Amino acid sequence: MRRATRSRCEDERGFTLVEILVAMMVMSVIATAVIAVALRTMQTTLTVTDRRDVFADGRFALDQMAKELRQAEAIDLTSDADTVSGPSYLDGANIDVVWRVSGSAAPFTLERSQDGGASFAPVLPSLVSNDVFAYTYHEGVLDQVTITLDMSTRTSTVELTTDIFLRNA
Amino acid sequence: MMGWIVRRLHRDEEGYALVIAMLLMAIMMVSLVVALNAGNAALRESDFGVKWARTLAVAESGVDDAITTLIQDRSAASDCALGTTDVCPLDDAEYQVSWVTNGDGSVTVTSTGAYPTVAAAKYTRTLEVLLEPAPSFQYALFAEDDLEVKNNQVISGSIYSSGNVVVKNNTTVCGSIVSASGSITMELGTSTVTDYAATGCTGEYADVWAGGSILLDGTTDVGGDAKASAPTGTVCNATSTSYQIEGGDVVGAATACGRITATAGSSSPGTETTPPTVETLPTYTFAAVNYPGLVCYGGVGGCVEANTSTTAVSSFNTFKTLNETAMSGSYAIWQESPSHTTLLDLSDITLSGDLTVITNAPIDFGNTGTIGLTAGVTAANLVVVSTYIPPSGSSCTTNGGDCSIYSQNALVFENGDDDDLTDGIAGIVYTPGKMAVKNQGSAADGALYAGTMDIKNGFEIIYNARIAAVLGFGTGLEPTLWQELSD
Repeated sequence: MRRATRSRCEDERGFTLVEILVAMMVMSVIATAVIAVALRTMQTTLTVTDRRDVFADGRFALDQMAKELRQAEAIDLTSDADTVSGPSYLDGANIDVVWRVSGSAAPFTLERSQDGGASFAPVLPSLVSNDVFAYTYHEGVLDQVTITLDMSTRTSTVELTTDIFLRNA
Repeated sequence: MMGWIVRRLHRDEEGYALVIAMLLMAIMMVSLVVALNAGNAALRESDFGVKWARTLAVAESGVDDAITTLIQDRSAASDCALGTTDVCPLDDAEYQVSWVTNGDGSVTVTSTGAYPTVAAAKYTRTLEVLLEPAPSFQYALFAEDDLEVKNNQVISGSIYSSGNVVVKNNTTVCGSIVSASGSITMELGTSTVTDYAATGCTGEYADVWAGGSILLDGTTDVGGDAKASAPTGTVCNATSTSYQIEGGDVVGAATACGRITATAGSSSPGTETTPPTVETLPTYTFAAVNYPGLVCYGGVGGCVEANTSTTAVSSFNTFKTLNETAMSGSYAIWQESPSHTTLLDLSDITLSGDLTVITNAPIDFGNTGTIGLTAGVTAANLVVVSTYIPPSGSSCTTNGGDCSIYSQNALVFENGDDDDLTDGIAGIVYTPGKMAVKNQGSAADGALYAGTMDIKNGFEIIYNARIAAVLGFGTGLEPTLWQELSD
């Protein structure tokens, strides 16, 4: 028994300086790699989450605009690339809806008014372009609006677009 | 020495490898979960968008179904009404649709699309659509045969005739004149104008377009373009007196298959153009279901034109005499063997609301004054239809005779403010037979449609789009108000 104990003690003598240095070097390389992967994963998570949130906000705005413009009776002829307005409906009641892009430089903000422009509420704050609305006439009637939302994420620009045909025009 | 160190490390530090491997695997797992979660979220939102849009299309299918059904049978019921367990399947979704006929004949359709089923809907969208009869009346004056207007008339709206049109004696037309296959004669101070302040008429084209010649005299002005077209295939000749524009002044462009002697903004003689499309008088079809609260004077067996009575006209005339100071509602009068001796009397009436009179008998508006509104009533629509066709060879002129609809001094509607087409009475007076009207002093809002028409002496009429779509004319229904309701 004593012999066995002594033998193990002899086997577990201290590491040499070279061993320690080599071990530290290996560990630091591994730690650096692990931390880099972890940081990259966190960055990816943030990017993907941000992109998802921007898309969700854009889809919400697009759905709301589509609904209100789809059932608009007309589009005001004063409408342009950054503002669209016209008489529409909200749950059966008449509203004068206005959608506009505010701001003098990116990021622009998409805003909505249902009282003819007397008051606006922000809907989407991350637009990189104020060229949002385009109009198409058929047989002399303005009955199609194309909406293009260019939105900034943490790392890139994403775009949502849709064509809306006015049902009451 | 080195070999010894490597062997020792290999032998004694293999536990670190496991730890590092597990650490790396954990990081990879986190990364994988993040990627899967992000991908799944995008997929979910994309899937939501697709199904949300599809549900709207399903709801619109319900509206289309309603329109198709109602065109075939206005009294039909829905196969899958809202609030029932009946559903109409459409691919992998379902819809329910209901409709209700309103007092003015319009139909409100409510349709709900559901995905995947109504019973277990994940997505629902509800539409409410107002359907109205497709417009049938777009001219102030319409005649399938020749049409003559004279003696200081003011027509605010356009004129159409399939035959020849004569406009003379200081008549002003704020609108266009079209003759599909005849000539148009304008003389003695007549004109077409784009605007006429006295009747609130503005922005008209004031064109004159004939499927024949346009004959103007030196006192006549055309405020827009003039076009004399020939039947397709005709060889045009710039010196021909056929399909010519003769005399007068044309403000815009004059284009003729034949010669042009009129003074015009620009002149193109000998030029082939397509003649106007021949239009037919809107067909009227009576259906009692179209008129909620209909009062019918006729024979037994339901209110249809075939169930006539020998006393239908006299019974209505008695009712009218008793109630002429406050007439409203819908009336159908089916007279047995109608003739010029069974005149339906519409003289001296005052409206307390919308009035619709449908009959197979001739109608006489008498020799009285304006058809007005009772106190407190600011607007009403008047629909007068006579399906009576005078016997062949009979005469109907502004002096009377056997007319389907005749008015002497009396076809005047209280039109309220000339500039406000929403107030006053707007009337459509219609017959596929003969109509004669004369001695009009005031303006009437609405339109006159007849197989043949003869009007003179200061008649004034202002076309009013309130009567553009009238129930019973045509079978078409078109959406006039489309909106999505929040669920």
